[in-house]
Amino acid sequence: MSSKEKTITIFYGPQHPASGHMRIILEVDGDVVIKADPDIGYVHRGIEKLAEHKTYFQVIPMVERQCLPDAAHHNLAYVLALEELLGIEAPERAQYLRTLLAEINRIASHLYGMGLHGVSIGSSTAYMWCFGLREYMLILAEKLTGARITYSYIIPGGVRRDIPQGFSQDVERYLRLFERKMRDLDKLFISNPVTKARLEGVGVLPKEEAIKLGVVGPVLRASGVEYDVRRVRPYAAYPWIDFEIAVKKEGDSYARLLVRVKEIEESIKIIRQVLKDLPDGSILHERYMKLLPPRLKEYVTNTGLVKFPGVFATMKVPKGEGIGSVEAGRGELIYHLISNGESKPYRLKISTPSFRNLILFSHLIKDVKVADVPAIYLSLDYFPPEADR
Amino acid sequence: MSELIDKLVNELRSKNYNVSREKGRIKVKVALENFVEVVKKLKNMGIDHVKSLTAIDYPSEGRIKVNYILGSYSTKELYETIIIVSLDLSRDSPSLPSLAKMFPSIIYQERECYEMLGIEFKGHDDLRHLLLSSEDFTDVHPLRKEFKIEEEGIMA
Repeated sequence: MSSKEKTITIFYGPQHPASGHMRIILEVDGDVVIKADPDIGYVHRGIEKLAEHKTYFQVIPMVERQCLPDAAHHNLAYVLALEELLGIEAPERAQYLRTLLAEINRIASHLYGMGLHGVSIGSSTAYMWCFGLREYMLILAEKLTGARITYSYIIPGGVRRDIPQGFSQDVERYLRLFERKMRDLDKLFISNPVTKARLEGVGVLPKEEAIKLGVVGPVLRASGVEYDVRRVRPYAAYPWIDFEIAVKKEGDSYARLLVRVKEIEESIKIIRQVLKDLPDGSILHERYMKLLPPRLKEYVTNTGLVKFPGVFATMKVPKGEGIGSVEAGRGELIYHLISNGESKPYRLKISTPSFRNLILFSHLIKDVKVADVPAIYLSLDYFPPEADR
Repeated sequence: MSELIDKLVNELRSKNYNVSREKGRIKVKVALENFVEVVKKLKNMGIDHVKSLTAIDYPSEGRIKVNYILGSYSTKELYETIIIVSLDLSRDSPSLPSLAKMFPSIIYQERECYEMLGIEFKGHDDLRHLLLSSEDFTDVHPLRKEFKIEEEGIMA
């Protein structure tokens, strides 16, 4: 081999500041990456196996912890799969509240990804601002559920709490502030010429390729495929809600960023609609409401705080299989739950968006400069703990 | 439901495959020898990616059930439909043809399934360990039922 043909192998991660809990094994020729092989599993916790050892109800907090920026969607997808097995559907008010939390969480999740994307291309301010903006959403989520990140808000048959007093006004105040600050963020980061120079035309994923590789979420939509689970297989309150699907056709890193920005705008629209159209009624399915002793039932109705009926602890689920699919922050998330009639799941398979987008590392990080690796990587909003499970 | 889905179901039924249909889902139960043929047929009708690959271990029945959840991005009429192709494998030496050439979206899912349940995907170019370390988990398959989680009790 002559010195001209020599290539070097670089381990990009797991200690690299912009790699997350994973590594990419890069083969570089000078400054150009010629091959990338993702190596994951650094944060594999065996959640699918652990689920077989816990009761159906105990699984809820556990599944949330595989993707902390996007806990509500994991919570929701699992509960949808479980409700299919139980043969129940939550009352309409609970469906709206689920949508409300899901959208608050989607904004937080997108800002998390955008902040990291910003810092990866050298804009520390974007990082701080995105995380500062995300804080508003965490405050709203805390007001609604009592927790900032791991909500465990969605339970079989409904939700855990009703909206607190004055919540709609709080939301409106925060959203107005949020929208104003988003305009600043747009000037500072999103429309910044440096951002454009670093991201436009970088890591282009053509539509045919995106379809062939089966990628999901904003990455798929930035390549021109108008596929959003909220629209194609509507769940929760989405059948009654009016929103646009954000689509771009360029397929580059910048398009992926813009799709997320557009989705944040749509999420704000959805939050306002939910609070405007929120129907009256119970937040827990009748089947569980009637199991509560009369005094507890009165307490739940008056305070809007659900006390779990004892059956939740020992719940036996009919034999069969349930599939819950939602559009999570990072894309289509599928929970495949198999029951054999016992009180613990027989098998739980989680197909996460990050895992499905993993294939892009070897496809997009090829024939690019080493300096473009973080610009491409973080444009995918890949979250290692979610992929590793 | 659209005509395309009706056509798809009828075509599969005409070949005497076990097809059931409910709530936007089509379930096809196939035998190992028909598996590739059915998947090819689905691919020709617009199915273009694999959403999930779920394998379930049934030790008492001596089988492993493999479910492929398939979908389409290229055909709008098929967006809402998910197709579940399932087949049973013998538990002792489970192996089946890899779909990696047909659907690149399954490459990593097959690698995961291989290490977690010990299913061999014939024709996969790169069947290495993915999430687990190859040193500790050669021939150890955590999602098989004989793999037990050791619990450390507080009251020793």
